[in-house]
Amino acid sequence: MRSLTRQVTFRVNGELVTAEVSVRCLLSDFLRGSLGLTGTHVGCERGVCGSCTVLVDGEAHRSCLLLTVQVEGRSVATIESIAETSADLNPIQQAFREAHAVQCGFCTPGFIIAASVLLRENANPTDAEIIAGLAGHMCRCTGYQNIVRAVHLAASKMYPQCGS
Amino acid sequence: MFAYHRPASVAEAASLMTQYGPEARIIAGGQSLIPMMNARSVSIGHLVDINDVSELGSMRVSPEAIRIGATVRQRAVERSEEVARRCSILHEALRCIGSPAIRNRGTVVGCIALADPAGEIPAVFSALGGTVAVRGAKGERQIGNEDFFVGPFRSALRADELVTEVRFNVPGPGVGTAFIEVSPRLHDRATCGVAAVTDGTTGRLAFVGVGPTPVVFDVTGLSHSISLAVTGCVATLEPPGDIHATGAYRRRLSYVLGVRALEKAMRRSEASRVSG
Repeated sequence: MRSLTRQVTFRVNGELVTAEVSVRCLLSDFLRGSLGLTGTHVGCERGVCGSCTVLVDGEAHRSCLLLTVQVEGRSVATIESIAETSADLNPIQQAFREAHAVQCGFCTPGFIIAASVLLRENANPTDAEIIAGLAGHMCRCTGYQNIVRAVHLAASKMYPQCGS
Repeated sequence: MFAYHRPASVAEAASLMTQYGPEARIIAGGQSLIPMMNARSVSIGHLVDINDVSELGSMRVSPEAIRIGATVRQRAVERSEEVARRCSILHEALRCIGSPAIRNRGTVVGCIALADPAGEIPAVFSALGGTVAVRGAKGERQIGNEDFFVGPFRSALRADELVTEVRFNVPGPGVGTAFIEVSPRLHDRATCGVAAVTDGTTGRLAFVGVGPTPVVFDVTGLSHSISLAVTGCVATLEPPGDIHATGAYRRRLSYVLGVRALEKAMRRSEASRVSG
């Protein structure tokens, strides 16, 4: 008899989650459907659009390309964890707002997760480094230029002692 | 619907593959397999997840070879200073794959096992030369780069086998290398890619995206004319046409990228011979 479900235990945004899940359940669907964390979006289910990106043990991963059972014992962070509180936007979110880098918002969580990793590793990225660091995220609305500006703005606010 | 298995050892994984053979698929990074599963373009009875098999998680760099286990992430190899120093073409090719998030999870062995006819890692594997270590019902065997790629997304692996490690030959002293590709956007699948290896006089070119498998040429007379050498290779290619490019355009790309890659590799070869 095939085992169609499996118990999985992992952390989501700091909290321990234990669930009996279908082995075929994608992490993106579990986060959205079972945990109500709908900030993570599903655009392509192929890994090319970037809208499903989450952090797994601090690294960017496509949640549409992970089975929920594969994050056993890991620590997952979604866009919901990025703001310090739900009332205050963090510097990257604030910068996206100020630089008009958000229109429909569908790609935004993925871009902000990617930007958070980029700025963690590089406090004063060049345009080329931003483009390389945010590669793999598609935006149909903004034309990307304001997104690059937003990352520069966020860097200048987060690391005012660095850079141009 | 599939059954999910997470073996703790290579022996256990091999036993599962022996038991379930044609119905079973290995998953490591999943960055190519899960898209196929999501698209319902592949039907799997048993998914064998090898990410917990610690024996498969190591990378070893020596002056002769780079050995990469089946669960080693592309990002780990990309970030290795030793790999960048001893085998820069592997580093160059990795940066063309997917995007940072894809490379955080995807594996180098997965790229080999997938046998994508436009794959960057197959190009580098074919140009450098190397072997794939395989485990199956009948035990272990090695498959050489020239025998591994059989057709588009088809390798010489049998239904009961899994790849445990890939070994890339490290270029010797005085050898220069380069990898170049053209794709619609930065991290898209290559329309055409070339891996070039040369000692300044002779060399090897491996083209991808222009045939059912990587197409490899041994070239000579490079100190005389790179253009002539590449023209000779490209004349025998029969590149396919698709929505991204016609066969004729791919042929043109093969020539231009072949020349550029060889010129770059030649410069690097000369630089390394001069610096000694």
